[in-house]
Amino acid sequence: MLKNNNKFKAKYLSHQSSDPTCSIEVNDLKKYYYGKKYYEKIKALDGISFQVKYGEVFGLLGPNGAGKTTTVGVLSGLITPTEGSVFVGGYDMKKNFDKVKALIGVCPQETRVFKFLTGRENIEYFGKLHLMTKDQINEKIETLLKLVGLEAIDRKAKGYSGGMLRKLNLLIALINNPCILFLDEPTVGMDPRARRSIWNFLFSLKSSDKTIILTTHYIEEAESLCDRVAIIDYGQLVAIGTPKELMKEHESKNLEEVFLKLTGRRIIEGMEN
Amino acid sequence: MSIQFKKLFREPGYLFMVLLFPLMIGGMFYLFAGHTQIPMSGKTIYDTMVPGLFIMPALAGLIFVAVSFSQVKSEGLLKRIYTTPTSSKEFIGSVILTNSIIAIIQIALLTGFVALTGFQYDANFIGIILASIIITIFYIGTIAFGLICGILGSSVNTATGYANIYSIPQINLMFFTFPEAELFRRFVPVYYAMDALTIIFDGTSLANLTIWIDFTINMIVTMLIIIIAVLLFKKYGKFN
Repeated sequence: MLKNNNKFKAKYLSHQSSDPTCSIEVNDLKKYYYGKKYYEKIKALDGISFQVKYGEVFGLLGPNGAGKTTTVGVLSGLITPTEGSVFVGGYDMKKNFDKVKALIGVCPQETRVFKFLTGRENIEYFGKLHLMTKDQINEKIETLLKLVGLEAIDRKAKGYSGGMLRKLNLLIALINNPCILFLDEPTVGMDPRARRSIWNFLFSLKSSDKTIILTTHYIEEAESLCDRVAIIDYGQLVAIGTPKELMKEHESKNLEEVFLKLTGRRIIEGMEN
Repeated sequence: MSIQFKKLFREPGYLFMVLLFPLMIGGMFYLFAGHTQIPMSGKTIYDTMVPGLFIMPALAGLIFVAVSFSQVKSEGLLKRIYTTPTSSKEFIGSVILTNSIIAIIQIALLTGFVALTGFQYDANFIGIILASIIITIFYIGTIAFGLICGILGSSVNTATGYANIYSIPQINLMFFTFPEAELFRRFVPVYYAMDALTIIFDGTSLANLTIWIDFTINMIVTMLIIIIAVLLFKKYGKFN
């Protein structure tokens, strides 16, 4: 009886997503927020489903308030979905989030760093939270600094410019060498030069077998970095595919045109109102 | 854990409030009551205020912990920490441990200060050690309550409000002298810490049952607050 029970436990704990080549699997994901009145239901995500393969750079595009950040929030365990299932690295988020934590790195939209610490101390602190040894942390910091230059690493983050804070935000997400990286608008607010340097860095990550989920407002960013993109609007997935496939399917010259064709109704509605 | 110490030494305002403010309060107590004798007791009014002097920084510290934790939360750092493999227990434990070390430094500074101002401990060495343990347990309880305020407060102001709800009645009840206050005092944790300290500093035998009842209640309350803090962090820690 006990043996059977252990077998059941082992099977239950190693529960995998339906496709073993998938790094992320999202099935009929819904997230509703309720207003003060019972009938006020805001559908942030309204039944989206998609899969991301291992080593893929997957872009989430959509207008403001479309549900991109909510999707990343659910995938990184910060938002509990109303309905649906999510598998990250083969683990069911509802049951095995603790195991998922060891696989992921999250670069949030807002810069979340301790301002009274130096850049290095911030990265070290999060390295320790990822249960890394001091030597592992130092080695990783040196590697990352070679790839993403942050000259002011030993200065307090309080005096950092917006671009430097963004870089630090990204470096913290990478300290644990995550297999799956969530980047929520990593280059927003950066000047074109700094943005270009981050793009180059992200491009170098493509060859490191990391699965990257990238939300962005910059269509050019998605077009050059992403293997596939999903366009979300009003909490629903309106298109998914490689940039080329989407351009062909929607008879467009570039991804921006596809984006405007699919999400333009919001602009038109905005003008009518 | 070390980031709390870094904050302490890098933000002069924080350093002043945590380490120097209790000494300033002690100095004020001494200036105003250090030379006023209580008839036929051989003690000054200041001598009777010393147990309160040890307790007060804990209640003031509660607000600092609540404010600093709610700042971390409102800046979204808790969310970031939540996505790391460090568990809620470990995180809360490290915050409590760091603040407890700061509290022990506070207690050591105050012990030195009251000795310099001529306070005579009637207790023996073991009594003073026991008193220090009781104060530390009380401090840990208030630190954990500060964390609860920080976790539940939707903003720094709300967290401060919750901390005041906990600390102000306790401070006031210690000063009210009408008979009903005596009854209400028994419902607040500070009573048991103060009571134990007063008895120990008076030189009463450590076999006195009241000291141990006070100690046990203090311990249970602190444990309960820590458990609640861990559970609440687990449930609400990720939310801004």
